[in-house]
Amino acid sequence: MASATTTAFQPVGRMEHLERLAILAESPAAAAALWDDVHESVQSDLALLEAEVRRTIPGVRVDIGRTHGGRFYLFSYRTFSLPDGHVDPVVAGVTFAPAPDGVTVEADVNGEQTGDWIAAVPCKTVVTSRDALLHAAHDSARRLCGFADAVAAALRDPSRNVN
Amino acid sequence: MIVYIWGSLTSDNFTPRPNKDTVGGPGQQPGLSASDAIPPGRKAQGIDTEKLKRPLLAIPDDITQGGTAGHFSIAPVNEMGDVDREQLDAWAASRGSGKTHEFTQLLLDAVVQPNAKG
Repeated sequence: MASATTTAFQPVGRMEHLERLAILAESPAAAAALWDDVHESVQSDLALLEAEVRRTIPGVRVDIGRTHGGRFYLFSYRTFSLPDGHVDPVVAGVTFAPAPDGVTVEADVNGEQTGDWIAAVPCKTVVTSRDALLHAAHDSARRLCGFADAVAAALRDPSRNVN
Repeated sequence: MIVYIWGSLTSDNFTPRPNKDTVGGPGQQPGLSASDAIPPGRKAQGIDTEKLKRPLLAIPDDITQGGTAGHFSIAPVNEMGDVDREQLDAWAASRGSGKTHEFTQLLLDAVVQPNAKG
């Protein structure tokens, strides 16, 4: 007879979804490699945005970057600025942050210093799997490419001067 | 408490501007500006001041000396709690280099509300 502290159920082996739990708990090197791949995916699409903006503003300066921090895994971005430096640079990027049920993916276009909202893609949460993250990275960055006109207009907007 | 750096999560936005943020004002210490509020319609990054690691410190303005209520300067400080201008200048000099300065990373590590909306 089982006591109150003895389990009455036999363990059942189930393998599905385990890769989702493990992917960010692997070695730091494996997690870093994953975010390297996600960053590269975002940047390969943002290259299209840069090309579109350059068609409108040939002299635009573009800087590629990435950061990570306490409550976000990765922010992969391109910063667009004019050589005179008077107008607040425009940042197009994708943020990946932990969420209770996966990873939140947020893609938007903002003023670098002022934080003015220029464009945004609806935020979404994806499961923590390599394929889902890479797909979300590609999809979000691709959608940012549709905002090239908004980026160019913001860079030419004198009301956005910061100096 | 939570203070907000207005703007995006870029490395440059988390690094002081030379000759601007490295210069204090009446009632205001030099350093990277932060605020206790986000203007409507803006994006900002929420920093937990208790998660900031030394030598960084968020220093509130002294409103009795002409500072602005709710404004903070984030800067490296020495053992006495005074702004270490040499370290601040070195930090600011890294802006635009494409590399993330160690103080910039300390600040990014203290972000608890990424992409907060006003």
